[in-house]
Amino acid sequence: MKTRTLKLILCISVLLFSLSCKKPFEHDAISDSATLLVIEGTINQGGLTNIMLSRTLKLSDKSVVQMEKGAKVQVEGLNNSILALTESAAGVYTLPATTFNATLQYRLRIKTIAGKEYLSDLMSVRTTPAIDSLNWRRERDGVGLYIDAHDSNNNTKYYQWDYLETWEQHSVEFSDYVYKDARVQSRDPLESLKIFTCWKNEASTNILISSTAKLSSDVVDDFQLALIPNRSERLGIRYSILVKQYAIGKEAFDYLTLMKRNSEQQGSLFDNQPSDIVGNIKCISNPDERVIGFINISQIVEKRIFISNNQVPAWNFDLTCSAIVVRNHKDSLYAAFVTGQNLITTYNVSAAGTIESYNGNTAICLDCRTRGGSNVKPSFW
Amino acid sequence: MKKASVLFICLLITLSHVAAQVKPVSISVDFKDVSIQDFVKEIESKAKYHFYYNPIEFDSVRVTLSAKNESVSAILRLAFRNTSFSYTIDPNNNVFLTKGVEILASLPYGIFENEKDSLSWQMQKEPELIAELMGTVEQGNLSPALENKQIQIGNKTAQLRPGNVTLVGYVRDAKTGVPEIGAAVFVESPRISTYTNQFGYYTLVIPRGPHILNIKALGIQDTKRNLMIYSDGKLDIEIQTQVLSLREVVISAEKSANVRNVQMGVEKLSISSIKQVPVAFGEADIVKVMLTLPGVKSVGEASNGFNVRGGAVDQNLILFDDLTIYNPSHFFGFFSAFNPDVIKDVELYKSSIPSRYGGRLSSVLDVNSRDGNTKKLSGTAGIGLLTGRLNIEGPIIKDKTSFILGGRTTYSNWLLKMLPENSGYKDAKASFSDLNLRISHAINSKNNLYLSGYLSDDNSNLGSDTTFAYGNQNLSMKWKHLFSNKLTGIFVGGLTRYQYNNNSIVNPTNAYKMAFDIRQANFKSDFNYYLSSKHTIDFGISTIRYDLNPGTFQPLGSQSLVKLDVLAPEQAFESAIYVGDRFDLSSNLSMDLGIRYSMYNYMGPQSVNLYAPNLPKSESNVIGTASYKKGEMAKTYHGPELRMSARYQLSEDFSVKAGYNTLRQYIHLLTNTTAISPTDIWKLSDPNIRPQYGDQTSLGFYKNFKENTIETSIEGYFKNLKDYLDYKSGANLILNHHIETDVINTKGKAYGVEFLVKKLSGKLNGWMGYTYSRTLLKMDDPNAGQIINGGKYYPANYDKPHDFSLVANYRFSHRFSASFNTAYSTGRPITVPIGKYFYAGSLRANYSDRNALRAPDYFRTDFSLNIDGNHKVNQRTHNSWTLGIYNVTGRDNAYSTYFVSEKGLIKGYQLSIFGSAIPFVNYNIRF
Repeated sequence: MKTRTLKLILCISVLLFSLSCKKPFEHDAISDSATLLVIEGTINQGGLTNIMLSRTLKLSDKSVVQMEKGAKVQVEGLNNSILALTESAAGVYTLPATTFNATLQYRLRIKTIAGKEYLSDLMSVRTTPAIDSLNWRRERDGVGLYIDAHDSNNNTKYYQWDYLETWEQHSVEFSDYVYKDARVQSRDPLESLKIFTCWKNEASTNILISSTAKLSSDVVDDFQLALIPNRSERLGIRYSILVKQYAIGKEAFDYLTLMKRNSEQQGSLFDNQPSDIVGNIKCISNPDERVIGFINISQIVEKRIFISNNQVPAWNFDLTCSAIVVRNHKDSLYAAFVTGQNLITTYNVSAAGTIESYNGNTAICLDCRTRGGSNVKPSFW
Repeated sequence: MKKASVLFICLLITLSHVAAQVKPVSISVDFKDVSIQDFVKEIESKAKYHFYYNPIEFDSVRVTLSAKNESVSAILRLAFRNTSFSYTIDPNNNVFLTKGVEILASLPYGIFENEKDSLSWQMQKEPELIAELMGTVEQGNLSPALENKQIQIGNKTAQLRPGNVTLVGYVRDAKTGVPEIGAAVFVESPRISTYTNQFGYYTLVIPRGPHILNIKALGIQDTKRNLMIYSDGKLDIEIQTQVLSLREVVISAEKSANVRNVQMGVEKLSISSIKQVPVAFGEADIVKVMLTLPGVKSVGEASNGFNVRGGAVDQNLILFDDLTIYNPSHFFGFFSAFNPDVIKDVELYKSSIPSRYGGRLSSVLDVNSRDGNTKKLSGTAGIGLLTGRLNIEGPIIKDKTSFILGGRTTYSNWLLKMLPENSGYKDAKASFSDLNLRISHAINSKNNLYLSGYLSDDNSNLGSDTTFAYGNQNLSMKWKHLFSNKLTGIFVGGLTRYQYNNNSIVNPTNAYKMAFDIRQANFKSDFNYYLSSKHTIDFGISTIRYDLNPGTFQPLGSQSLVKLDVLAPEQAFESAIYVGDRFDLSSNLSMDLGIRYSMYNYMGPQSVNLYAPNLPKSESNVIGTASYKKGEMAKTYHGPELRMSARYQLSEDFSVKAGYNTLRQYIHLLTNTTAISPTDIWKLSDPNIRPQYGDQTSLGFYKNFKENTIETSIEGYFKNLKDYLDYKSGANLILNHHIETDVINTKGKAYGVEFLVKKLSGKLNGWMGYTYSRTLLKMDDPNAGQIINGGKYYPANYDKPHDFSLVANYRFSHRFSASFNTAYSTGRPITVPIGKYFYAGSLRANYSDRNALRAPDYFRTDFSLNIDGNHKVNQRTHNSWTLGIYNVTGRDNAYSTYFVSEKGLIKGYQLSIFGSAIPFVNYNIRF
């Protein structure tokens, strides 16, 4: 009786505390908003600079990004020096490694193909301290990745990071046969190898910033960059992360904080109102036009680490595969393999010595390229 | 229950108990539609009986019956069965016929001392009657003798002199000694009336001579006193509460007050009506019930505070026993901070704010705690799904000093700890508690002292790594003194403290504790002078000293590198003087004119940034700082505030009222979240932050139906707000050393019309309100550096144009009632994305103008059943159950909508606090 009462109370209290629930929400979008220019990038002291120009999209738009092509982009120094960037890919403007004069101020000027002109505020060159260490730890929910950095001159105070993850992918088996021209043929052994091992890249999607302004010394201690969830494919074989560290100013930090708040930190009981502040780039041909983005000029400092599957015991990454056995018959083979959804591993021989059937599996388990990877081994691997 | 009737005792017999038992005579009669005269004549002719009756009362009576060999009493019983007529036969065969009342021809057995221990006494079937006759009546009617007996007031003079005299006194509960507030005390001719004040004290100026003094109020037995007044005098009146009365559920203190009072926009709720309204978790909640009244709204379920007529949350003055409560919520707004068992009543002023109140723009919520029982020790306890309560009250010195001590806490913390590891709430913490103490002491008939203490404490964490803790601490001392029969003074001194701190220890290097606190010491004296039957003057002074620590940020633990950051403390005085006059220009036209002059001094030690004139207040425009030493005034703001209202009575139950108010507010809540969060901090006005100013014009019509049992009203208002604080995008409000650079002075306007129908009594009672209102803000200060929505008016977060609520209670019996509550409102304004862009590896939302769209409409229905144990007076404990369902339809009302970038894409969500029906149960016990 007593335990039953307790259970009842527990059930009720679980109910009460799991009351707040979220469900998808769609609204009648207000259409016809002007598309705004979005500028992203860091002018890299002593390294390759990439500046991305894109446009805002309508909410209903299917594409993820619309790059702004054909713009004239240049870095101007207060000493009247002009360094022009060239468009290396659609909307990506590149400047080869350049050393900027740390005592000078620079700004970025953009002229779009439509003839609008944009100019950033003057920026000083920032020095980014080195990354002290990049650490990982096994935790309840997976593997956490943490960064430590410090500036013994107490100058940096505001840090930004982004990262690129790379991991190796293996198929569950070699696919030695291929269904081609309405029959099963042997696969080229080199090709078998190429679809067995791949490497996949993914860039960070969150704004990663931290301030030490409230601390007595300029120390970033154990800032969490990422969490690899338990059983994730990333640690199935071997994993690597390249972290870039940027020193940014207070204004950039405030700008990114607000962008983060607007786009990543909503949904609590006490939300801030979404709102926008202005970055450090203005449209000089139309002062009322809002421009999105904040440009910095600073050194980019990098660090890479590797983690292997054997360093995380019992990781238990598992692809959901479904092995099939297909009778060696024209129609059966056609039905099973013509779409390419299934690939062939081996065959089974009957007592009479003929090929009785073929073993197959889903393509995602046999061709690693179907999992979004590339079979070109990265140079650092 | 027995029909209430006045009992006449007729001592027609001698007390020596005549024992001549005569065998009853049997007669035969046959009546067909005969009048009373014929009926009586026939019986008198057949038997030796004599009838006494009032022919006028019986003129409509027609009797049809036939009987053979029956006694006279049997015939009479047959004749008057199921009618309002009664008969009584005395031992001398006199028959008394009466209507409505019954004559008692003999005293019941047991009235004399020597009869008490006999068996017949214990078999006595009419204990109530005995008790009444013995003067030991527990409840029900006062002894009629007291009502009918003429009481002589003053020195008896042979000849009555003309002119008026002043009659004063207390109206108190005969059983508990608790003063009855807002009881109507009046004489019929000439019609002169008054109400008892908050101490149950009344003053009435009436002509000398005989009067019937009537006393009527909510939840008491109407009573009267037969007076003969010769000169000024004092009359204390003890009243009986209607323990089982249906009118207990009445929501107004006075039956026709809404029509007759000069004030408008006043809502008074007794705790019994608050307790009937079903709320989530079943715990009676003052603030949630306030939200069912027209003109009172909130952003959503998990929101601290409420919005009155388009005002911000910080524009409500919440007083608990005369002291400010800075945070009226527990656990992120799910519970209100007031313990329902120690509350007596709640008054909300949303339009005519009396001149004795000031300091906030929108409303005054005046919460009063009860006096303890002055006669005996008693208590109550209650237990619900998440909270438990215990209250004890009783006399310290009988009839003079009493106390009430109440405590409330939640045990949800304990429950959360029992949850399984994977529930996600294992680490959550939710604890809160509050404690009330009130001691009332009557020094003598002219002096009363009241000591009130209040503590609340919250310590919660919803599974995140930050713990929020906050609490209110109040202590007040009130002295009430009667200078004369016409002048009453109330002196209150008190201390208030509100503090919060949150801390995080997840990362030892960054472990911190952040704290804020505000202390308030106040003194006020209010005087009430009863000048004449036409004029009542209120006047007084008040002063508040504020000591505010805007924020400290300090390391927690030895490994923490957090730098100690302390914002300079602020101090200020807010003082006011006021005078108001309530007067009757004619019997129809009454006015209440008040003026309050408030002054605010921002004091040193302080250093204040000076900004270049006519330029945005930003760090780059600082041209210097001004330093002020301790005791030096840094800035003074002052100005008059008008409080005017008038009433014109068109008929006994129909009146029209108008009001105009201006108000000033010197303290601001800094918040830029949509809902007020427990980490929001208060800020005093300073040389760079001006006080807020508001005015309100209102007009209303009030009509009562069915002998004042149905009240209806329509009130319209228009309000202007000036220098309301809003914040720049990305403003940092916490630990900001120059907050003035992040705030923008905003203008606001609010208007609306409120309809309210209340049914005060009967088996079905409750209220229904509908409001149409708008609240619009505008930020067009060119010096602000940025303007919101192009400087045009935009809706405030709590702008919900259509708002409907219905609260109904149906009493099936005295022990069983059902309550129903339904609410509908337009969804609140939301800011939504109109576009998207790719930045920092993810798609991100590009937002529309602020509050351009609306969340889906809000609709909720709640239902509860109240079951009382039996009502026998003499049992040890009385218990009751409340069961119910909150949000019966299970509609998942959107508390908020939000858009986040997840895995590179934008996803829209709506968050519901109560997305399903929630059952609740509460058990209460009274001892």
